[in-house]
Amino acid sequence: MRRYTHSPLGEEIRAAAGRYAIETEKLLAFRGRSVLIALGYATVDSACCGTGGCGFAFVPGYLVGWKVSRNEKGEAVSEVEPIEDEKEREELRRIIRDTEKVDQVNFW
Amino acid sequence: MATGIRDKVVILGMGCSRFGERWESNAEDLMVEAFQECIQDAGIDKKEIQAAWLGTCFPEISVGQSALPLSVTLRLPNIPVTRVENFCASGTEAFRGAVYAVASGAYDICLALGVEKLKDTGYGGLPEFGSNAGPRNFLVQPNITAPGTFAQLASGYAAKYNIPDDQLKRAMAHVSAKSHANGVKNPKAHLRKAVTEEQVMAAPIIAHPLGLFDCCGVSDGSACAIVTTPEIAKGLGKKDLISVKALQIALSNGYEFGYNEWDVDHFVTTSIASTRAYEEAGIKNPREELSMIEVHDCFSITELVTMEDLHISPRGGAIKDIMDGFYDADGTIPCQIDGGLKCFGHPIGASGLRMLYEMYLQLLGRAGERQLKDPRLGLTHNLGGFPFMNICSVAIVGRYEKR
Repeated sequence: MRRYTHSPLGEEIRAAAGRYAIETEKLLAFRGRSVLIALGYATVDSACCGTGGCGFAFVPGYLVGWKVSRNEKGEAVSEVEPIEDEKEREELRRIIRDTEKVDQVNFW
Repeated sequence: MATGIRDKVVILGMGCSRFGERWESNAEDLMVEAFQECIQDAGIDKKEIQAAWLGTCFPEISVGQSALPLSVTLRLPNIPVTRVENFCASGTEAFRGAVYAVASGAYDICLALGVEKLKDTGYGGLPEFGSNAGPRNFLVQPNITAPGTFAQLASGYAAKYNIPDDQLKRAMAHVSAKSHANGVKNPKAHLRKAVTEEQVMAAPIIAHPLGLFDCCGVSDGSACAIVTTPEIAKGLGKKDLISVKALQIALSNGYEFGYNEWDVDHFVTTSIASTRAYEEAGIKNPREELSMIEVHDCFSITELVTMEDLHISPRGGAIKDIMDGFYDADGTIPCQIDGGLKCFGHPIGASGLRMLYEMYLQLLGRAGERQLKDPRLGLTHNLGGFPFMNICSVAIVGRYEKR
């Protein structure tokens, strides 16, 4: 089990190469359990790599405990079980890509 | 019989501009900003500089060709000025020129300055390599990207040592979070914002497994050094001298690129350059003797693998050292104590001298909030190009202890 800190929605997290923000969070019913999904966008406008951007989904894992505590900055922390099985990941990728406007689906 | 550069040349003064999106300044302004700090630190008159080297990688889009931009901008007194370019090692290459010129006895006092202004191009990223890498570039390396090739390095490293994806990602996240934590304390850094490993892990992918925070940014900046002999420095009243212990550059020769023996798991050049540098500096055990390092963290995987190519971490052992905090600010050998490329960005010609600037400040006890306890030897490392074909520079500086 891992702890997932909820980023403030819409707040940009900056790197030297660009930035990203989590816009929404969803719980997806999957195989009798709930999967936590964070949906966001990224802008890469200052990287040596070039210029670009994307919508993306980040999947911390199966939800074990919803916002069970807070970190020192007061941000909510959930407990999740990372999804490691490649077949489950592939199925989730397909579902999320079919329902959300994202270019990539990343797992923890 | 060659005797190397150890303790033959000392740094008389250094300067560094603030790095960042310097829309208000042109390249010339950045050069002046760095030089003014440097000449004041050196305590000499500009007329005493006898030769100079300018390092810049993309002159066409920043300062222009030839060495005139440096000579004219600083109104140098009609001295010989040479422009050098060697990809990301350009700044260190300029330093090498100035140091060797003093060591040869041709000159007493020389200047090395690196500068790059990359933010004014109107787009992110570096200029198209096709125009700069020679007429056969599209035949030998078509459609490659820097993140793509360094992602292959990450995959090759993970495959060689059987490292699970999430373990490698977490180690790279630690590399990045550590540098951002250090950069917060540096007023000259481009980005001064701490990030958590979790935020790094949650960022979208650029080229798997490299995410947004595993890649450095482009930036504007300049840094410079004035070098001389220990005797002249003492004559000028300098007491705490910082000397050059080693300067090595190693270039790929086609081995990695042309044959299938190399497993895309390490940098051949870095391993060779660092071995030579330790020999030149008289270092027997870098893990025990080095106080701090600044390495070319163009991508987090570069820093991770470089720890092994510098022969500090054992082969396949960098992840353990990284996660144990060995390279953290309070670790045994702090790495990127100034924030590194992750926080400074990478104005190519300036980066090598910016790294040396931090080593210089640390060795003199002038690094303020970032100051390490009693550092004696600092190593800087640049890597220009791609894992399969690159230029690596390694410099070692330390307290001058020769009597």
